[in-house]
Amino acid sequence: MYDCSLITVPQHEDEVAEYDWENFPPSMHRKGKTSFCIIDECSGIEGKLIARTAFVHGQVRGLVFAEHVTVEPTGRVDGVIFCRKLTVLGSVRADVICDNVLVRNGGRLSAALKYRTIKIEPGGMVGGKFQRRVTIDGQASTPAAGAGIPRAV
Amino acid sequence: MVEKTGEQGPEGAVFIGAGVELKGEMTVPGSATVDGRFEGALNAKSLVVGQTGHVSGEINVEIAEVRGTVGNNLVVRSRLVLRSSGAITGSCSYSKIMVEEGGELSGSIEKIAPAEPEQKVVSIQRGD
Repeated sequence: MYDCSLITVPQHEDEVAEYDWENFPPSMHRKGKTSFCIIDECSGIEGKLIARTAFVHGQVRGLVFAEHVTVEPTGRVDGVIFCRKLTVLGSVRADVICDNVLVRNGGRLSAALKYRTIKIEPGGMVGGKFQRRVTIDGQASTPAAGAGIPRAV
Repeated sequence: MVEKTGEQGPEGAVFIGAGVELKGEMTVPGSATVDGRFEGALNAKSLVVGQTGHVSGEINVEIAEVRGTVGNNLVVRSRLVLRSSGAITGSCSYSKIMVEEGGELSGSIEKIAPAEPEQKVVSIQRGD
């Protein structure tokens, strides 16, 4: 069992860019096994949510730090999201740093977003300030590293 | 006697081929296809930016499909499609959007109210 309080939450964009998701404690701990966290429709969290895979049907206000985050149609996240893959079917109003973003039909993403790849399906809605993180020789480069960094709460 | 007015004839279109550079102001009632380079102000019903195309300036169109690059202010009153080879930088407003994986969307993005459908004027006159 890992201790969540010992997990260092990235504070800078470059820390997220270089984050070793293979050694992300929630991923390592359940390697090869299915593990996930569900915030159901009637639940809300204020604070930090750290998980390997998070499905948000309810509300999260604060930080979501996970390898995969799915905000379901009834879900809402306000705050900061650090993740590898973000799927939005519900509502996200946050500072987001991630590798891949998928906004599906009905999803609303209002964000200061730094991403590597983005896909928006018809019916998805996006807004805010977007910036693509450029990769050079497989290394993430952050030309504006240090600027506009979302701070973990 | 029944007479219809407001029907439009064939809509004028413009094509800027690869290697062609154009600066200035254009109003296109139909489709503007850009495989070359355009800088300036563009008002059109539809805009198609090819893979080799680059458009920048004040762009105001009803629908747009982007395979090349678009910079500065892009306003799409209806549907914006960003293909995997396309990139939009600068400020961009849209009513409906679709982005393929690989497409680059950078800058300030804003959703606007959908354009109201054009109302055709039909006048009916009764003859004696």
